[in-house]
Amino acid sequence: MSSSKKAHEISFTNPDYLDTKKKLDKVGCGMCLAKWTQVTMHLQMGQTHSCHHPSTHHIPIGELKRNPSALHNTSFKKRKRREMLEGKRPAECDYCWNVEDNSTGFSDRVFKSNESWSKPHYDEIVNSSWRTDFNPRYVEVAFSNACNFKCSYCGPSFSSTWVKEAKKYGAYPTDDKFNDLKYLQDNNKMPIHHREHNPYVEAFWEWWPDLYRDLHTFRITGGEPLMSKDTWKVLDYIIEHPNPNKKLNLAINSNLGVEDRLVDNFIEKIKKIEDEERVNEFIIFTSVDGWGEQAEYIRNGLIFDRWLSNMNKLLTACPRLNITIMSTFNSLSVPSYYKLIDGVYQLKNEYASTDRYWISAVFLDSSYLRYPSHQTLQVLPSKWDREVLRCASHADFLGTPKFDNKLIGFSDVEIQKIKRSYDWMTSRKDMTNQRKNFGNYFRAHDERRGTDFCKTFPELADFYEYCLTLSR
Amino acid sequence: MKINKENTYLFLKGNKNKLVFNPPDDVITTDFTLMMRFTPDKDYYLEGMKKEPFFTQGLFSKNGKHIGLFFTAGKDEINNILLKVSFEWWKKTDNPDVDEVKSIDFYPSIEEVEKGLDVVVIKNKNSIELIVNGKTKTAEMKDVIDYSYSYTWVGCANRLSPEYQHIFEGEINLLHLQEKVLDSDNINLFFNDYNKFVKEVSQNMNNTIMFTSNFEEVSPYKVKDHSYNNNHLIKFSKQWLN
Repeated sequence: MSSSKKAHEISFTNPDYLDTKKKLDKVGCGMCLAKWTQVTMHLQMGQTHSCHHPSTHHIPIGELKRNPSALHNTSFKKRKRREMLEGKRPAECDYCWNVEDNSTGFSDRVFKSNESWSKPHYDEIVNSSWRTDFNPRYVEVAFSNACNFKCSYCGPSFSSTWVKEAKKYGAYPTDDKFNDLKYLQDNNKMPIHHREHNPYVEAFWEWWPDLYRDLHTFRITGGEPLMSKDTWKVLDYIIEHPNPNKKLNLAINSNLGVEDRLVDNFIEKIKKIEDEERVNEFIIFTSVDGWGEQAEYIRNGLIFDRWLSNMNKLLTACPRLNITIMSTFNSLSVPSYYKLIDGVYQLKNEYASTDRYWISAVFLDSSYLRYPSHQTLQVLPSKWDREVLRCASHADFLGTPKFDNKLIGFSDVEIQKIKRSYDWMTSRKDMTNQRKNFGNYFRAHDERRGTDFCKTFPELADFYEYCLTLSR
Repeated sequence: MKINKENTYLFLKGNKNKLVFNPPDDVITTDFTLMMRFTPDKDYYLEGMKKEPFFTQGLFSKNGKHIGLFFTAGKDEINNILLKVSFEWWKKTDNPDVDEVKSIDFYPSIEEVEKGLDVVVIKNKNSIELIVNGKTKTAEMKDVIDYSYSYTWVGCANRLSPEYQHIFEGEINLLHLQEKVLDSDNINLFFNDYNKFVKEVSQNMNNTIMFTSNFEEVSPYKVKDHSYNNNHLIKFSKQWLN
């Protein structure tokens, strides 16, 4: 029907975005405030980038010695800022240039520059020299790769448990040699062991008192942040600060699979920060990609019932807290994702409260996996597409209509991100190689980890057997 | 499922989550099949007849100059209770300022109505067919006025204005809506084996299905569409009007 085509069209008439784009284009067609206002720092690898689209780049130790804010204000990044201020398009930002050159829609440079942590700083940024250091407002930091999990799609950069496995067995037998440590060594991305001295973490603490004052959003990722002493140091800093930054949106990732004493300590710290209103909002980001033992297989190290019990524990003990479940929607998620949607809905129903920073206590943020390509949704045979659509429809059925103020069910964003996964899944091309890699990867996975793919995913057993035949 | 003034439904216009493949906006102008199983509440219509001599309740309707399936309770010339199931619509006339109301009607007995009615409406080119508990009537249906801007309601005729709401009270237990004419085998399948019908007809993306439900799966806000069309019925709320 023509109306279904119409349904996929998006209107780009939002006046805020139009205004922001106009202002950015006044400086130059490549201008983006996120190059100044946002940073993600992988301190375990000494890597940084502003915005998640450009690749990370190395932070030179020499620059840090002179200026700890070089964790963000590297000379490399300053050269990119200069290009932007001079009307050029930095090549590393090609994700946005592709969007702008091939559609009538806005690219992320407009969305990110329009954010409340970006837009107010427009004048200051465009009127300053490209050489000037700028304190970012939206900061993500990973202090170390210490992690007790080795999720199937993750790797040594973000998990010390993965490092151990990769050292013992080497790369996985996929065409791209998944998780080959040699790649990290060759690209200067081998993580510093969390017990060793890390000059990037040292620089962070030197910069932190100055950075903290200006922060809009601060998010600690990892590794598993609760296994890093620096996470606890941040929490204590906020708790003990005589004049805390009360506008701060604080977010901490956790797999919620660490020892009970760490979870209990975490709850105590959150309660103190909440009770004394030391931040504007506190959000925990956790992860699960399916339900029950299938989720455990995907995220090796996860004990699902313990995770669920910790979710309940946190939401019960912390009446203002919100938890976002970052769900990496991958091929192994599909058979149990419907159940996950029901489970999240139950949590939403049980813990929704106007006392919380956001009324809905729990959000399900589904992002489809893109890499490794052998585990994406697209690998599955097309007969599984309908199951993903059924999941999106079920979330929509459990959704909250705009006109209701209880806001208990799924929001439009939560629903649309599942639908987006379906759209992407159905745009697959020839997947023969990826399917061959799927078979090779999970055969090796079962051998190395003592797991049993066919027992855990009986629904996918035929497909797995088929994938194994591709490499014979 | 019990339908009453607290529990009426509509299909939301637009497609905000991009999940609906076939919105029901234009369904009346094309060939379509509508099937419903319902049981009116006897006490409610007897009470209604005291206020209005012909007490009409909307089962499936588009608002404006109403089009859709209605149940009416009234009395005949010798004061006997007269029950009517009708499909009504408005057609254009030669005079652009005047439209004409048309309908196709069935008069089931009180006993039949008490047991529940299986109703099928089929539009095929310029013909409309109303089937009530297996009995068929046909009429000509053409030059229908434009309903593309109307909301599609279930269990009432319209909740947007205080007048002509025609709220139904009773049970609606099955509803299916699709483009094109459904054959008699599949019509029988719908009323006799709902789950098989969903699997074979409603989940078949080659059919232009708009909605299928047995009203057993409900959330606080919606009735689940069991077809592939994901067009869950939305519960009407006054809050929404505000």
